[in-house]
Amino acid sequence: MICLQALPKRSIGIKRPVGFEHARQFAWYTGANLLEQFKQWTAPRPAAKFRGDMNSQKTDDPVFSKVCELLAPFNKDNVDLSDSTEITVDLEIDSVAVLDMIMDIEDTYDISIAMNQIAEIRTIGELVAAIHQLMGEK
Amino acid sequence: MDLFDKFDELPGRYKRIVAQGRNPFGVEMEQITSPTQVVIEGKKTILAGSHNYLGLTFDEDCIEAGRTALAEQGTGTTGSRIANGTFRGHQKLEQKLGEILDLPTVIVFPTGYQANLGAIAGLAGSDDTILIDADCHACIYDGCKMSGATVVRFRHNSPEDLDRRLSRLGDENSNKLIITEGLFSMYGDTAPLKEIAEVKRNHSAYLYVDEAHSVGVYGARGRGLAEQHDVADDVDFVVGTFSKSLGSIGGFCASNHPKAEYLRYASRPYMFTASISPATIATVLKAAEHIAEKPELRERLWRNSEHLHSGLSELGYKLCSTVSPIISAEMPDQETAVRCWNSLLDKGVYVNLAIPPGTPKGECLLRASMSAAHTSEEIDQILEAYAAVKREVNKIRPDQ
Repeated sequence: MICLQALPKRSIGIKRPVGFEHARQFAWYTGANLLEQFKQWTAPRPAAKFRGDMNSQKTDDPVFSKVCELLAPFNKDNVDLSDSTEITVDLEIDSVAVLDMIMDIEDTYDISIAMNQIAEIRTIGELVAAIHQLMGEK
Repeated sequence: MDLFDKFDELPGRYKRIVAQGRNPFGVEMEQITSPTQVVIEGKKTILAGSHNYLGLTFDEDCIEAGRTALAEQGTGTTGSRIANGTFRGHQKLEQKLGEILDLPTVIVFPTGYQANLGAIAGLAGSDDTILIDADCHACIYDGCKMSGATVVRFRHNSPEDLDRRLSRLGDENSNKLIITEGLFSMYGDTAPLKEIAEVKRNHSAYLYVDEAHSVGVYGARGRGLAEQHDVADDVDFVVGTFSKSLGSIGGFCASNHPKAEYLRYASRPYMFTASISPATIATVLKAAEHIAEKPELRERLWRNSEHLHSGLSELGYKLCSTVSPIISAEMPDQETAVRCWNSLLDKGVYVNLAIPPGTPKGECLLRASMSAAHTSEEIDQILEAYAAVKREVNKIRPDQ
């Protein structure tokens, strides 16, 4: 059982009403048991997907292209990928899948990206920069 | 803002699962009548989803030993090992496990989870490098995180990949600790320990094997997979649990490293927690004797595993590994998996539902585990239930 983390570290960016509106929606305080809370849950508005900033895309960077290629199978909603795309948040990839993808990157560029380092990488741009840095160190 | 905002997606994920019937992650066992029989929802149910490999939870000798210790030494130690929680029993258990495993140092922890957390975080520091099998258990990942070491994953059960990743590290002047498991808990597959041991020797690394599911199950003396593969001498650290074959709760780290005892003064999950109760110690001590002295339990476990494995194969279920006491069937999707799981329970068979992120590669599994205590009739009943489920859910085909 791997279970790195069951859920994304951050919420998908929907601003909740201040106070306990959402709490009442889940019936935290009505005495319903957890099973009922799950059943009563209604989906929030879908989060606005970050559509990317064309100016920040480095489409001529082969590393950026490779990362996008490896992320493609996870990009079910066809989110435009850019340097500022947050890998686990915008693409909703689970943490284990990200680590599997990192192994492919390591093999492609013959580098070693330690898990401790991966924990600090949030965006595609940060990942691309880390790959460049590690390749430069070789 | 609410502390729980970060869990906003949790109800959504579970809603789809519980909408199909029960909550698979909160099944209440109302009565436990034997190692293989429980009462769920008022109905007699066969337990095929525990890790009671040798069926020792109701062993008379173990119960008697626990009862005596409870009466003579009380309900708990109320203290940590280093302050006020080391009883004669703890020392005796560590000695006994050392004899069985043929390793001079054994350190007992309150759970298997803590044994990995404590051993890894105690052994590795920020200047060290840990290489872990990608499919290692969550507690190994947590121990790695706690250690502060540089952590690199290698592809599941691939000594070649491990070798490549070790080579990639170059001549870095750091200690290298390779961590893998004996029997993996999700697929029920085993590590190629002989080949991994060879890689370990070539790179002058240390080898750490979590034998949580394999102690009592593999090896002529039940020492685990390293014994079975004849590489016990190459394993520097063995970690295990008392909550599977040994039928209780607790864990251990064993080693032949001359300084392994230092862990008692370096491992926070060892130092800052209460020690296991006298009754627990006594049952584990007795169960450990059974592992060493009753090879017939292992024989029965393997016969049962073979029975269920071949039966499920014949029914057309796609199984994740060759025969082992963990028999996982691959499901085409989560909905089918949940439906089959509910249906099996309706038919009086309890197995485990395993879904991402607890599973490798995002797969959904129905995981059954065998015990030496299962009777042949019980296994036939389990197979009948699986057969009926298969008829209901025609989506599961062997070609999937």
